[in-house]
Amino acid sequence: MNINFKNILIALIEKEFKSYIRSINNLMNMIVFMIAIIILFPLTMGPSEEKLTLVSNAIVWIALIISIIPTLDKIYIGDFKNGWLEQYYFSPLLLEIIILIKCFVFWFFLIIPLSIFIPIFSILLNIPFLIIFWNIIIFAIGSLGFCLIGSICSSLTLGTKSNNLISPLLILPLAIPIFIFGNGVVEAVKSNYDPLPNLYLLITVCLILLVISPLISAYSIKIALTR
Amino acid sequence: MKTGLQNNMILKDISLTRGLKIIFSSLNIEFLCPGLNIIKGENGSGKTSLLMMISTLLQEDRGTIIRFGKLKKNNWLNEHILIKQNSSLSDELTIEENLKIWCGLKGWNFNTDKIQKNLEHFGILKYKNSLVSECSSGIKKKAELCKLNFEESFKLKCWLLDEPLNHLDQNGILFLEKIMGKFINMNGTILQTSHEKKINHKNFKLIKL
Repeated sequence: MNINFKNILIALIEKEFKSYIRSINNLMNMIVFMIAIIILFPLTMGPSEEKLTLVSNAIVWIALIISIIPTLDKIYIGDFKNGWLEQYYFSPLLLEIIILIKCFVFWFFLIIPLSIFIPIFSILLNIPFLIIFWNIIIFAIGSLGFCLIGSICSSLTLGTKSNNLISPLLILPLAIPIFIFGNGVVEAVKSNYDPLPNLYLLITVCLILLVISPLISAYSIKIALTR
Repeated sequence: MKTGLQNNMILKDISLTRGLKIIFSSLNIEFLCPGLNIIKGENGSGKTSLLMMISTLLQEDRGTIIRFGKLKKNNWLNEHILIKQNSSLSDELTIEENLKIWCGLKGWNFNTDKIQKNLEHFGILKYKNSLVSECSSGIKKKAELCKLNFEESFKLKCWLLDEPLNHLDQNGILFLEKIMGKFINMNGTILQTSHEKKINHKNFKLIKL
């Protein structure tokens, strides 16, 4: 039988795209949560501009990360419950490739829209323009790594009842290299050093995740399905 | 017509446990290929587990399953359809979108006309644009069974149907029996679990668990 791989790719992207469009409230939740954190921080710290300049960059990052984590463990759970993961498993395309595409679509439709808010919040928190620019680049690269880590954790916790509890515990330690190198870039820019070495290290971490994440996720999804 | 192991489905000395419960121990079955195999048994006797095991969704503890002359796993995945008791349609998509994306995922060539004709055969064309979450279980079941009525589905080796008659109305049952007959005439093998007493097909093998 002739198998048309182009059809598989189109179907996969169409399915993910339509699912995200129809559950737009996920994205809205993330945005509202992020706005709440960014508004509450200056209010609770008091009106000192010096203090705010010191921590403003950290506030943006914490807001982004905390708003992303709750959605990360939901990458597969919907498809697992309504049986679509089985259809992916039965598809002629390798499960690893399907997972990679799923991660990219998740990143593109749910995470990239969030980065639009970085400049807006950064202006509110009085962050210099140069750092806003670097923040956007780091977030675009780092968040892909974040999605790939999320994919591993989401697939590992499939079928468990308390995955809300386990996922953040699994995600945060794995994401530490992304935090360190991401922050390294910003610190280098602030103190007029070359930010590129840290950026390259960040890209390296993401590339390693790009290779290992689909393999681990596919393996744990197969275990969850065939249990 | 092919003969010998190439066209056989045999379970040899299979044992399966789920958790602490032993579902099968030393199970030996030779299925009628091509033909209709009806698997009967009480609730909890392992009918669904048997189908899941044959479709590789459950791993047997011991024994061998010969799937049409030891087909490689990837080839076997493309050579059968499993229709489970619960619908496996995405709630966020419409019925037509679900079928379209399902065909796409299988790598089949399809067009909207084909899908609409298929829905019309089952009498659910008017629900094509309804979200699955808004449909009744009968309509969901019919939409699920539409997967069997594509040109490519008849070219497969095997259909695994878990209680396909549940939630179906009389017209649905008649149409399903018609396409099952057509598939068997095209040398297909059907493994069907069922609680129904009356079976309308002439040639079938009854397997009791």
